[in-house]
Amino acid sequence: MGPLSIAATRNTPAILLDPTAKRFRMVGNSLPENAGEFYGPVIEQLKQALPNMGDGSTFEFCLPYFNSSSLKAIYLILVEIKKAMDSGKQFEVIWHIEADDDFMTEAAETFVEMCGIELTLREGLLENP
Amino acid sequence: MNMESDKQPTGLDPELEKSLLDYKGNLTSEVRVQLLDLLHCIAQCNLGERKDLKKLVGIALELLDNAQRYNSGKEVEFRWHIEGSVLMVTIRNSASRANAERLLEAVNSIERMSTEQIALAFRKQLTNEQFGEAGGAGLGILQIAKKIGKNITAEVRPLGQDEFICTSQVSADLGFDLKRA
Repeated sequence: MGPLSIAATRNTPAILLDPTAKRFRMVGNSLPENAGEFYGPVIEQLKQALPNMGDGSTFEFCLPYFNSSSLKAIYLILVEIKKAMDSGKQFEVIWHIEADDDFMTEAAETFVEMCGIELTLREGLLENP
Repeated sequence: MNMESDKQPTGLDPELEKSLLDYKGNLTSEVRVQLLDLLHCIAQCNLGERKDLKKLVGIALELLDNAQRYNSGKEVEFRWHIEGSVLMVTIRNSASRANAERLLEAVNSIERMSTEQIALAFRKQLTNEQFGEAGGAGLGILQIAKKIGKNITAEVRPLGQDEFICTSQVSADLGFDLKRA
């Protein structure tokens, strides 16, 4: 399976899923009007890719603003990653935050609580790939 | 209805009041993004650097999201203003009977819930893996309540046979008096 690459728009983040490079990235604001429509194909492709992603793969999230429907979509993505980790995959999941920003920090706390996933919090935002 | 007619004096410095936001017009995805950018700048000017700045703007984002998703007309009215130490965010849009009733039920059910019940309802809605027909997650009002408590009101008035004017307002205590900040 080839990489998935979606360019950022004003409303949606850039998404890169490259199993060969052991990399998944979401960067930018996530404000789609229809999150189910936008994220559905991403989640499907991620599900297919996860069994083939080797140990040491990194999953990075850098989302300065996102709406609550994106929150659910990100939750569903993290659930899939967690399932793979529970089956023995050694992945690192990095959640980027801005300094002194409750919005991104509390979202990370929500995901840790809801998914039981371990997130590495890293200060500083990523540029769009 | 003209929202300006409801406007109460805020007591803010005129310079500060100028930076508050009233918007009336179409609400497309592009407009929503522009409003978000603008609000972020306004919030920074009004409130300075604070850890919950994006949370406050995020509340407005949820109201705008709902209005865009369920608006049955062309225009919405949106207002972000500060009275004393309280941030008030108001949105007014038209909606079908079903969507107007859904908004009222969502707000009324929040009113009946304890903090723990709100957290539980949020968890249940987040983890059910379903999106609505319009692509929403059913989390917006719960998300706001989780962040700022039950300070949400909704008012629905008939506009036509199956069309209603919905006004949602959220107030958030900013914890200090802006006039003295």
